[in-house]
Amino acid sequence: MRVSFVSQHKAFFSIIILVAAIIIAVQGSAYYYYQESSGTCPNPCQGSMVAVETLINYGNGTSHWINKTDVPSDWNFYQLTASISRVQATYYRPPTSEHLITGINGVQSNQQFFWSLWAICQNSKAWIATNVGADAIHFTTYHTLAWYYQATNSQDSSAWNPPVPGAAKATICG
Amino acid sequence: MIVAVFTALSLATNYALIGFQNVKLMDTLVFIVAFLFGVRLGIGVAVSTWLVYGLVNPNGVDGPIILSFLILGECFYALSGAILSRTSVGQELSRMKSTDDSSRITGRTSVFRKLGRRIRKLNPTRSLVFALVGLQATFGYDLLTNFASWLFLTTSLYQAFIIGNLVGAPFSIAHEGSNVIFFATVAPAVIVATGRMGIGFHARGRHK
Repeated sequence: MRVSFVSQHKAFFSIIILVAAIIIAVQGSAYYYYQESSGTCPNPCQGSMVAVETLINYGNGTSHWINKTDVPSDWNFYQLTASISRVQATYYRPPTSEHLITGINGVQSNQQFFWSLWAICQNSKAWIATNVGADAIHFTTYHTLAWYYQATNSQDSSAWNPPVPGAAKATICG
Repeated sequence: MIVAVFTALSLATNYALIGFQNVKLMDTLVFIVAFLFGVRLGIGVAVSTWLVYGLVNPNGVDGPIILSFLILGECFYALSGAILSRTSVGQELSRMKSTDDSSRITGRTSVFRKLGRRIRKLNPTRSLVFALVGLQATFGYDLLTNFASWLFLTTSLYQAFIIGNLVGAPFSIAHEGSNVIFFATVAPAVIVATGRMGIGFHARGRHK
């Protein structure tokens, strides 16, 4: 009965199975590429240390810089943030495996304010609002980063102010 | 009435699953509404659910541009449900009875036996079709919304499309994987149940 139903609609089943196979191949390749490009630091770096500067701007005129010179180079920015401050976060299981930062040092995100993540582009020396989470940031690309507690006035990050007032801002690292 | 009930159901399940990123029953519910009652009601559920969920969300509020892309993407499920229900395959699948002839699926314990019986009742062919259609609609939704989230961050539309879909790949996989499961299990179960109750296009057509 089932076999005859499938054989009656051969063309339909062939097309949807073929399209599904293409989707699985495309998505699998994209995921593999993402993991390869953001997963670990390039060789040789295991065991080495890097210096990372982190700015925490509380959005009320209070901000402080934390310079750490002994950051393991295979860490990500979430691990660094958790080591230098009290972090509240929601963890999302694999395949995303990411943390959504909901609070830093007791300052919580809410409907009006949230913690945005910024980094300084190495070439242009301008601040850029990153579009990936702290877990996906490794210290091969960025060495100066910032958490900025800012108002949720726009989804368009090109309209946001940088975490250091008056500093240069870029929409993409050139 | 149907839009209100399914919107409420979508919102309730969305908030209940807020801790599971990109795992939502909403897409399946929009598909079911469109399959049973037509594309207009499906789009109605998609739009009204996103207007609430996009603006009242503990993970952050969506801006008008992102929100319009999310609504447009959600309409893919309504379109796919409506299109499938109009094809001869969709009409035959909604009338198909449960398959209880596969005696191969048996277990040693009563738990496995019960599970085997439930799997047989789902009808694997119907589940396969719904799962594959769900996968394709979800892929279209993910391509569109990943592109939209990088629209203002890149210098060209092409860059936004490529970067958005590479960076968004883990989220897409979670979304597509969970939707395949929901479309294979929840959608056929609801469609068969509503058919028995005489609700929906196919059930009405059968009684004529």
